[in-house]
Amino acid sequence: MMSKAKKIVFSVAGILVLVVLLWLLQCLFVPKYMSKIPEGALIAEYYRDKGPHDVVFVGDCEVYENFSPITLWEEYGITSYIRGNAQQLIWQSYYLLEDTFRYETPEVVVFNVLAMKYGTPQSEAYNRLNIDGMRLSVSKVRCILASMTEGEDLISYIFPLLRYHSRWNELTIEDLKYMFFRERVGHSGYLMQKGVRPAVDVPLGIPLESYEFPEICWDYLDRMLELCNSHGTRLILIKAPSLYPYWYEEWDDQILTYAKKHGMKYYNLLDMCDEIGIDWSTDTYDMGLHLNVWGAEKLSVYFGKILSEEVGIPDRRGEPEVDKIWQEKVMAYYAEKNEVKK
Amino acid sequence: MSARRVLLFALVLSFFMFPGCGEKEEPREEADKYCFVYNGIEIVPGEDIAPVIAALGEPTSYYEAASCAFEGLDKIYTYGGVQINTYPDGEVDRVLSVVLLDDACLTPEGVGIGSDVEAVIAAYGNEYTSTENSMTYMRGDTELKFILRDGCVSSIQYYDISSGTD
Repeated sequence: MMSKAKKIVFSVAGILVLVVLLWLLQCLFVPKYMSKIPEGALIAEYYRDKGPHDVVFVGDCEVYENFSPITLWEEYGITSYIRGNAQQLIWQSYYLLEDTFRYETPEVVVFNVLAMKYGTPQSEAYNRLNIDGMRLSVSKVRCILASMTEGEDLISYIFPLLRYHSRWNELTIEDLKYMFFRERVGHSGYLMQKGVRPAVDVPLGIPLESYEFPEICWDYLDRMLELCNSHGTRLILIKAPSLYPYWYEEWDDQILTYAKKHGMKYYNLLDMCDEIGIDWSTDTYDMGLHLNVWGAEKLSVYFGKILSEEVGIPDRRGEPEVDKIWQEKVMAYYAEKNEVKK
Repeated sequence: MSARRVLLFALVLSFFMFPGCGEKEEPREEADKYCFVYNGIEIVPGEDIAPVIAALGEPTSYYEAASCAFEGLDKIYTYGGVQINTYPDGEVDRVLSVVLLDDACLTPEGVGIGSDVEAVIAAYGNEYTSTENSMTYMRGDTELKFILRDGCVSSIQYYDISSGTD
């Protein structure tokens, strides 16, 4: 007969083996977001980045596709990071910001206000891009609870194997290659696009039933402001220069009023395209929805001047440690920018 | 192999065979729907756009908005004063909305931009929901929305509400 002690040892060992096995399966089955949908890898990349950052951007594709932190560094010595993702909803921006404050306290947070139009969770696919990469924390759990669409459950975000186990017939060599380590896809949160597709026939906005932003969005904007204030960080609002989806004047007025009421800065960069120098025939890769790398660099030169001169973000060039970190980033950026596609 | 092992193997296998949580596929319901008629061609929210484009020919203007991150394009076709928005559904592009942009077109029931509220009610009845600026009629998976300004229709919009697209 096996002794009681032996039984306990075997049981514990058995449980450990099971846990390790499940963990390995999870590593194998979760999407890697390397060659397809690289946006999915952006949120997790933040934790590998060598900070700190004076400026942190939060928001949707209008931040991670339109601003180049490398240009902000090269032109003004501004250290920045973009914690954005596709269709990032305002509560996701808020909880990502909460998460960010666990690691650093930036001088300024820049929030892109397009997300104010969405008052309800949109889709699981976008939720996954925004949430799966977050490290487990109270903020992540709250973010999941705020974001879940019908049919989703909290447990599958905590243990993604429950969601992705059915990928067994979609697995590729990439899933094996990146089980434990992912390559970097972004440049301080910026996702580079090098295509050119001119913006033509961009539709105007159609009349809306109501131009009021949903109450929940105002609530999270208030919370974002309070969170920033509690850390001594300034919150700046922007509307990035994307021609579509249409940005209504009625929306802009509401943001202006809010910014004035709270003594905040708000920059509608869509109104400044000429000053920025954006040429919609060459500086966009998708007909005006987002800028390509040349457009993003122009925008960053323009906005960097604002950050530097109006907001007073310091120039960190010449600080040996910071210089070293950013030199590596600059090299990686130009390696991708100058890479010729085969 | 013992029965217990076979059972365990079957359980593990079934875990991987079943669809992931949250995945669901619901059949599209064929129901009575609102539709708009342009140049004699029916445009039905939720239906395949391809036959409509084939019948109407080259649009006045065309725009496509790539879905952020995912494959698939939201397409916007404009024919004169009518804007048709589509969304991808697998291999098919379906009509998400039809928006009347000017007073050159009327709905099949005879309402156009500039019509008053009474004309809308006369054509569509009293079964509608309203806000300060709109009247909305539902039929099957479609929604017909009249946006109002100063008591008159300022925009007419047909929507497929089964798509869940905002």
